[in-house]
Amino acid sequence: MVVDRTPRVGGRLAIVVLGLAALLALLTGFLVTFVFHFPTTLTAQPTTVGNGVSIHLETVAAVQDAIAFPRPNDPHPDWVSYLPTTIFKVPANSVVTISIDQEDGASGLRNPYWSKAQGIIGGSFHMSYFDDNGAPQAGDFSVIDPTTLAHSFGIPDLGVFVPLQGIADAAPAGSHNEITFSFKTGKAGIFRWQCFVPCGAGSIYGNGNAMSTFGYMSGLLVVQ
Amino acid sequence: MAIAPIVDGPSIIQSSERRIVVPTNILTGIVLAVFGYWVGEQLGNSFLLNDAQNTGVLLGYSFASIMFLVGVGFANYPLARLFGWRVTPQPAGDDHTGAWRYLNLSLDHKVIGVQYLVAMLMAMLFGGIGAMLIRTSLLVPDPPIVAPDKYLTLVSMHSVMMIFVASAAIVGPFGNFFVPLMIGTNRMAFPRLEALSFWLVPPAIVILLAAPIFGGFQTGWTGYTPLSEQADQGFDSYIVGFTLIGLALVVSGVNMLTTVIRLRAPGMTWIRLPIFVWGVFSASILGTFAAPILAAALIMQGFDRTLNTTFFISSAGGSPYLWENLFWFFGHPEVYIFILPAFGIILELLPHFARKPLWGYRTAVVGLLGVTLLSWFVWQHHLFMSGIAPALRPFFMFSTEMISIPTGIVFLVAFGTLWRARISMSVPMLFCLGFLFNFLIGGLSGVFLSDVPSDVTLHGSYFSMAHFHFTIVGGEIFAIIAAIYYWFPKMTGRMLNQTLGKIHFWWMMIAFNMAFMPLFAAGLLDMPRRVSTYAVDLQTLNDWVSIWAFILFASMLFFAFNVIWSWFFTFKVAPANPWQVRSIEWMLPTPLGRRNFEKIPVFTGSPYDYGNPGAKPVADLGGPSDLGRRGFGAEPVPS
Amino acid sequence: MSQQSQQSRGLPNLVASAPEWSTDVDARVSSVGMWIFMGANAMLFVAFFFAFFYLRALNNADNWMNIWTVHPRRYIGGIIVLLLVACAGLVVMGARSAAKAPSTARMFFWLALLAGVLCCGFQVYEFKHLGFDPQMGGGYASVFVGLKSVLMAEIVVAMIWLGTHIAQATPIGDTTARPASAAAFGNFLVMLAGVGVVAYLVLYFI
Repeated sequence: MVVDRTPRVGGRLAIVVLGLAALLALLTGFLVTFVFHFPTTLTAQPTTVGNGVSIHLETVAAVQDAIAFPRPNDPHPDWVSYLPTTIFKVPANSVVTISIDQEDGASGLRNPYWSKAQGIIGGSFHMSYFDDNGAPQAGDFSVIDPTTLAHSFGIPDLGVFVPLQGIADAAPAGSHNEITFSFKTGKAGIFRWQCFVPCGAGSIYGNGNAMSTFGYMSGLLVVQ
Repeated sequence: MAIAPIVDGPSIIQSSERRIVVPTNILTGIVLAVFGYWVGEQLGNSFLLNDAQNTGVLLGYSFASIMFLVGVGFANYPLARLFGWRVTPQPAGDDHTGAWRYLNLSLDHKVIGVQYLVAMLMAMLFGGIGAMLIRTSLLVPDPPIVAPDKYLTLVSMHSVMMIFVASAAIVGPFGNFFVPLMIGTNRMAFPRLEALSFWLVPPAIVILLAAPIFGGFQTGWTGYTPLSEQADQGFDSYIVGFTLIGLALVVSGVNMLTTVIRLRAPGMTWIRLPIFVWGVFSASILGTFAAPILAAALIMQGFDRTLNTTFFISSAGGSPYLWENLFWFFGHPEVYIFILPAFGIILELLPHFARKPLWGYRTAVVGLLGVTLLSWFVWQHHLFMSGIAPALRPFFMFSTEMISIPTGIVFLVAFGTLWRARISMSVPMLFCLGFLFNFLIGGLSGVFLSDVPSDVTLHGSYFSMAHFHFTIVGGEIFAIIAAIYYWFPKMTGRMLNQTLGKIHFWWMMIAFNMAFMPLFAAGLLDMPRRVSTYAVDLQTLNDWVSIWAFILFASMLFFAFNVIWSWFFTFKVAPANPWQVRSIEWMLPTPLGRRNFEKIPVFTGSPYDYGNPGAKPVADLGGPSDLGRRGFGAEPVPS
Repeated sequence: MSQQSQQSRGLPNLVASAPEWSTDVDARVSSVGMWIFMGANAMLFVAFFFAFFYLRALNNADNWMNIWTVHPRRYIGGIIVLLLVACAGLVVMGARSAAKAPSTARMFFWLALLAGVLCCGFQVYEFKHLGFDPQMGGGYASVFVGLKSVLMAEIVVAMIWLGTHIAQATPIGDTTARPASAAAFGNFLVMLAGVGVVAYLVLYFI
């Protein structure tokens, strides 16, 4: 049975090998595209007064309901989210002012401790909101009722925690609460921030999907 | 290889002329799988059991897998029997010929072996690409190149894919191809189950690769609750994919065990069984009886995610510890499913290339079976840091350390075989020696992890990651590559290029150790596993590791080039016995026909009897025909 | 090679006459293979029984059997398990006469099929009138639904398998492999019945 040469492989086999190689390339491309999908970075704008920077954000009950920062073609249009992104670039040793258009309803806290504002300049934040009768109100707060929280903005390593009050049921359609606060950055570094209200609807205990994904309810504060 | 027609009296039954009319091949399978997914998803979504739509995805995957198997042709035989057609027990499914049969359902164990080999190499490539993406991300400490959820998906997919590969890449290709040859039979006990064990693998791989469509899953290969309960539909890929692999393990185990128990040729006594067969046999025991536990646990996960049962939700009467116990009760035998056949390969190859009998054959068998037995009693060492009762920890620490005794026996046998041998430094032998070096490091580092006090600090760090990569990559993958270099001529009729092989060995050996050795240090410096970022001062170390990992991957691509080049673009048929060894598979002609043996061989000697002038030949291939006609082990051994 | 390829295209008469495919070899492997498969299958249920006793012992959040959960009615569970045992017994009896009296075997198999289908029917009825919800019922409800669904799924598959034995129990069928295969299948059903009995005792009385 030992012969020196056998007939060459058929064209069909070559097609199969090439087909498998093409399939491999396709799948690899798919994986690579998925993996390197990273949320965009938002560079904070210098404020007109003082030497600080400011960031304007929006929180929505679902990405598809965005008003200020629509994000079409999002892979998860029905997830709760901060918009437009959750990766922020801010300068070191400066004052960062964040204003948030809060459009989501209240879902409440498991741990009432997070309803206290901490680590921000002046110890309180400014909020314009709607009361239970739908009337617009405004004021400075250092703590709010834990059952009215929709989301929170917390940077544990900087000690910053800010509760965001949910929009009242009686508020006019399309309106939002506006929360504004400032905090100081120290030396350069990368700090994680996230929402501490378990708002990942559809996952058990509410800590899944949007809560654990960059670009939705958690992100980075890049101080440089 | 003409087939001698043997008229066999009344026990012959002709196949029915009636056939299933739809052609069954891989294309039908793919079409039906797509259709099955659509039906399953529609059906599942119509139940509206869970707002995360897990039911649709789970049923879609399940229907797709079943319909794929139907399309490939697995329903033909049961349906023919259900319709009352007269069917023979012999495989009538070999309609496909030539290269086409490698892409279709074949009941020839040699074709299945080659199918497995190619599928496993491709899956290994996918897993390897995942590893490269992980190492790319780890080039920079913070912010990561890959977002944390994507990073975890990457780690999970890399690990699950490699677990698929590791659990099937020896028993699948080499077990299926060589166990029947080595025990002298023309058939497997259950050829359809054998084919099924292969055809469950492609759907499992595709389903796993589909996970990113649904957001991936962030659980790692362990799928711990409540992380997995929170995960997206991407985790359904894990459930179905792993269940399919578990089924493949059971099915292949039933077939392999029955074959070895029942179909050994005359003279192939238990103590004459080649050590590789012992390795496959002991791994099959573990696969057959451990994988159902995993299947049950995955069914529970599936119910939790669709029917809203609460098996693993502690606030509702379940417990995440239930998953941890069930998973690791499967999971620890699983790692011996990886390594026992690898031991088999190493101990099989060493005598041939050392030209000495296997030193302490019976001891080696005791070692393999000892690992098989002990591996059932160690699973709790994965839970040392999970908060198990402290009083339980010493027992499991002891039982885990006990395993180093049978493993040590295997090493003793290996070194006893090498002692004062005239070692032939051919490529398979180089990989065997590489295995011994790497696995020794992997095994010794395991002792630190089995000790409760050191595990407390090393748990969940890169130390344990380096440990199991030394055992699985440095151990099992090296053994697989040794086996590929060794058996490739018999499987495909082509020698792999030996010069390229030697370059590949040194390239891979150096790159592997350079890449993974520093990870022990990273672990001791508290770098945790499965985290997309790390301390800034570990960047130099990680960049070093990443660069060597890329070099390691390049060595595997070099190997793939060698395989493709030698297989398809060299046209010289390999000699029947290129290594000049005694083992029976090399006594057969090299392009093997559909039947392995014209007559059932009669085994007369040990395959490892080198250096003994009076050694009997391994087997009499042209033995008296009446002895081998029906005989599968029951006949007396001729003296 | 090419000559063989042409021969094996279409009806493989030549391979069919190879001695290793003679039916008595199949008869010899089917019994051992089935015992091993039964062991594997038993491990599947061992996991569920482990879940039962483990969760029961833990009684997390005092939620093993909460106020919404009661044992399902024992007589329905009893009917289900009796039908399963009857099915297994009938198949075993049928398998004994499969070699000599295929028509008797066929009758036994038909009766067994009837029992098995009825068993599945009662199981569906029980699921419909469970009295508790798997989501709210605590650990017990989860194990009950999980174990019983898996057992029922296996019974359904076994009934299709039984159909093949009915179809093959003909006087012109072969007398070596089929009876051995039927006997092995009978063993499998006995194992399922055993699991059913244990599950009945565990799920309805503990």
